[in-house]
Amino acid sequence: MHNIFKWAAVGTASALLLSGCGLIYKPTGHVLNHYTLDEAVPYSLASGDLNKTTCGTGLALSQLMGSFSRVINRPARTLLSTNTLAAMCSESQAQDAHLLVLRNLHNGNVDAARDNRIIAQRWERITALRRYQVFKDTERAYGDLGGQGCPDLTNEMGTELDKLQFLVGTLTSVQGVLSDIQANSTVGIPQDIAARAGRASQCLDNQQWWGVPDALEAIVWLSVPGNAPEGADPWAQLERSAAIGERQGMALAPMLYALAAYGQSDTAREKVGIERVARTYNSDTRPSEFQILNEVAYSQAQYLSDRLWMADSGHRTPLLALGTFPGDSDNSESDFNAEDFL
Amino acid sequence: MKRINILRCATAIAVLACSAFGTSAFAQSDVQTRTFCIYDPIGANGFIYQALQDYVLQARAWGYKLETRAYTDEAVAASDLKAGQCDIASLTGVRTIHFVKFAGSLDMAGGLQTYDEEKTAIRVMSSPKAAHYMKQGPYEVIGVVPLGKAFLFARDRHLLDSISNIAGKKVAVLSYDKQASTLANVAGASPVGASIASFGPMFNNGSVDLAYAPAFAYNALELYKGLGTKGGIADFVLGMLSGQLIARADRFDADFGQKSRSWVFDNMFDSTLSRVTGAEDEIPEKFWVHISGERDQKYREMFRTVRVKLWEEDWYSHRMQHLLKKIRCSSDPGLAECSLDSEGGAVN
Repeated sequence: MHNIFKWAAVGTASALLLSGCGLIYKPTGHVLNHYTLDEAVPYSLASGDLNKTTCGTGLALSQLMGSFSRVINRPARTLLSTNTLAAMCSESQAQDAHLLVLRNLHNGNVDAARDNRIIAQRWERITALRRYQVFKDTERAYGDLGGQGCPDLTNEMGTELDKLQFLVGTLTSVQGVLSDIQANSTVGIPQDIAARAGRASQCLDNQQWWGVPDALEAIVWLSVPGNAPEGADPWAQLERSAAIGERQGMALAPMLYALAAYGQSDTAREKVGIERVARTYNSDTRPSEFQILNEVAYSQAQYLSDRLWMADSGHRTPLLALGTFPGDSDNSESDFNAEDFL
Repeated sequence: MKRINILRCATAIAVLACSAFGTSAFAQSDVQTRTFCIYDPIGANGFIYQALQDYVLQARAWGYKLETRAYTDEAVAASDLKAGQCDIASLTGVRTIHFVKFAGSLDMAGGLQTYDEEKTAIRVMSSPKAAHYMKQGPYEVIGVVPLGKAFLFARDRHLLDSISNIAGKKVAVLSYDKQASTLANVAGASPVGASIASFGPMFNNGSVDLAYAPAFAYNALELYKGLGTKGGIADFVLGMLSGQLIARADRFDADFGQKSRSWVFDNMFDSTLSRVTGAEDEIPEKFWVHISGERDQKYREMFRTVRVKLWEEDWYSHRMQHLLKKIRCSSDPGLAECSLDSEGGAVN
């Protein structure tokens, strides 16, 4: 009798070892998926370390959580977040290369500039691929982007997480279109995503989300011919949105203001937007649980600022000097007479 | 002794430093800064603006630092070129016809049907032998790339079955595009003035029955909404849209234009074309209405009528008109027009 139990136990253990891994993997997948949504995402959102969050958490968790697509339904909501971060990681590489293009153009090193441009395009392509995945996961989780009506964004845990995920997914989808254009459209992301994202942004409360939904809609109005309804004023809307963001200590909408100005080659407005990002980032009202979003806004504005500095002076924005621009110095001799003091 | 050596050394360093500085100062002064105004409906984040960054790099190698500026309104870019605020502008051929008639006539109604034909045309335009024709007054077209075939979009695909079906139907026509309004009139359609910003919504909301656009517009402007379940797109090419770099010639060295045209053709034609054909591939097969046989002949005849009318009005460059006829008849010698006297004479 004792032997029977012994053999039964050995048999069960063997069965588990040989064929029962799925029994463990599936619940592990569900647990990790929920853990990521409940803990890892909020932890990352509150982080102040952009590099660690995008290139650490984003890259690693995208692969780990993506692998669970093999054993459970694709964890789209989780992957939407992790791939958004992973795309920011590759985008920062692309941006570095874009800046080197400008530096080498400034210095007349054309061969080096060409090489930098190719590197930038390679990273843009990787970024576009990741962002296209974000778009697909956003649709998988919340339905057709910009389709009829709005998705149900009520979270089963009673949190605002799904609203934020939808906002992030929508914004990243538009960025994907732009990344693909930078990569000579080699990924083939459909361009109608821009117009659809503009409509989808209106499923979110503009006040609750720091003016970002309306800022995104206005950018789409500026970028897609004929998209703005009659009487719409994109710049007035961007202005209102940036002001809301600034009041709430969230620099995303001011950053979108600067980005829109860059798209229109409106350097004066671009500088105003960058200054607002710097001001908002340094304000006391920053929502600490969303610190990483301010870091994202700061980093994007810093890239725009770096482009201005690089093209003019051959170097990036000086350390902690976001909001200053080449030629700003008030140390010129014209208004100052040293003799008065001598 | 030691002191003399130090002095010698200091002098040598000073000379070296001066010569290095002198070289650097020379290099800086050798570079000339010019303004490059780029029309792109999306702006600085758009495909045209981004693709032209390769040109900016090449221009730097030729000694010109181009400061780029995006324009989402082509008319503003064209008027800034006229006003001297742009040294180079990137415009569409439909617009450059007002500056350099020969080059701008490339985009003529029904001028070409295939990208191979367009490649031949641009190769001719970019060759040194055509240099004379690429200049007109103060302007010179210094590079041409394909921006795609223009197709006719119909909310009801039956309108495309026969040209007579188009009669009386409303068609959105860009107000500055004389050839399109002429075409609409010849077809008996009612042209309705539109702009790049308005024609998409007009087609989608049913204000017009027909619109013409390159494949780019299908997704970007969501034209599938106007096509719905009944619409269609004729695969007959209304015209080839081209992107043209047009410069104020006196702002550049004498050999710049030809150097630039050759470089653009050698380095930008294929990459731009692959982007263009990619957009065409995105249009689902179900929307295409294939125009062939007798229908094709009727379409061609209507376009010939339009071109002959515009020849008489001296709207197109006669030289370009005859050149494109030669290319058409070279790729399809059986075309009825080839033995006709129109557009500069029979070609076979």
